[in-house]
Amino acid sequence: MSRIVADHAVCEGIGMCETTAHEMFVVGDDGLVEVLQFEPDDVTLARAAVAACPVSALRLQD
Amino acid sequence: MVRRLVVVGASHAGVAAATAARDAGAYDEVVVVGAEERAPYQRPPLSKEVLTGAAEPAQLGVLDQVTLHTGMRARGLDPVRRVLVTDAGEVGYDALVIATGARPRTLPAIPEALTLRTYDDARGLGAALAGARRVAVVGAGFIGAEVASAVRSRGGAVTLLEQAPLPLCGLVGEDVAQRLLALHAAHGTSVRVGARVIGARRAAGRVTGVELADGELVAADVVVAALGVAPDTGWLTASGIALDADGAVRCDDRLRTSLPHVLAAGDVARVAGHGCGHVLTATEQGRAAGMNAAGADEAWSPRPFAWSQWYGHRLQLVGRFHGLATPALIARDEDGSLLAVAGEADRLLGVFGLDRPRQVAALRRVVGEPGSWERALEQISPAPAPIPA
Repeated sequence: MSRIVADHAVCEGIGMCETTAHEMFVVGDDGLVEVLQFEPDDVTLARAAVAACPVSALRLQD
Repeated sequence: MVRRLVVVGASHAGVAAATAARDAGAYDEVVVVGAEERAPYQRPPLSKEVLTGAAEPAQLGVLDQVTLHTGMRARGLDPVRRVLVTDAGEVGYDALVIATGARPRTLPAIPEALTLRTYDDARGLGAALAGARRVAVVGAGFIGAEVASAVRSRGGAVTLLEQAPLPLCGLVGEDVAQRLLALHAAHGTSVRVGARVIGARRAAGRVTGVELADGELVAADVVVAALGVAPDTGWLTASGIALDADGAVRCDDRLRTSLPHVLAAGDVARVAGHGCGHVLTATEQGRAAGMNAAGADEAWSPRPFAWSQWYGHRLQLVGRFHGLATPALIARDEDGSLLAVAGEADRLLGVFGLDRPRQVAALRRVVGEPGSWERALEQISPAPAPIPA
């Protein structure tokens, strides 16, 4: 099962992940990414969201 | 007949267009043509971690079921035969998305000046900076400031040369621009405003300084030109496509150009009068172009968001400050952080934060909405705590 890992130290709150997969990510009130679905149903979509982050704050761990 | 979408350009706008069109499933084949040899990569780290050598840029997008041609440069477009001409031959299309981006403006007075746009640029510039004794950066916008920041992070000496009296004033307003100027000084970057570069001083064929119009000589062995970009549309001249005076491809809000079956997105385009300039905008435009090429009717509207890192500080800009009736209001802290807002009537239209990610995130959600100015005022001067009953 793949698991989404977010690194808050590098997250800029840009929101590309939310734009790509709003069911998995939201930019929270603190301006940082909040993972809504740590073990994504749609791994392909999760990969796309991870690859959309311009600051590489997201990873998909196997 | 195979239905084929061709995307010209393999960066943020192009990759977004290709993946959106692929996901829509309207084409038998989605082809991306990129001029660089490298597979698509994230551009924002180039002026930050890649420049200092701290990290490599991450891969951009997931291009499964997309045919990617790297190292293939577009040379022309024949809208009658519906053919893209490249240096490796012709590619026929049913629909085409132009996403060739922009090229950095050069400094004619100093041909040796380095520019920053691609991965190769960043690696070359990073190596030059590492070996430099004194760096001069011409242009004190975001890229210029990030280059200066990279030099300072290694303890190097750097001077920013800016022609305008106050850099970034048009983007963030006068008060914030003054604060940003002070940030450079606080981190040891020397800034000359109102500086017009007329040439270079050289010794033994190497640059030793930058000559200014007022007669001053700024010592530098590496010169960087950070003067913004110009749309990369030289290859489209003979196609008959409508271009703006600066060469940008003119589009409506559906990303449609003047040519049938041809759309455009990103730094190459001017969409409904708006330039691009940021990866988030490029990505949104690219996605809309890809979906519309696949038969959708997606309108793009500006939602500008930019971020930058200077000397370890986080800068975030939402919307605009320029030309607004309500002057910018600023809240600042003793820790040096600041939040600025600007609006018109009851609407918040611009937010700038220096190390204020929470407040920027809260306000970013309401920018442009009726009544949002009230929310902005709450963030600037928090309401007094309610009196306990």
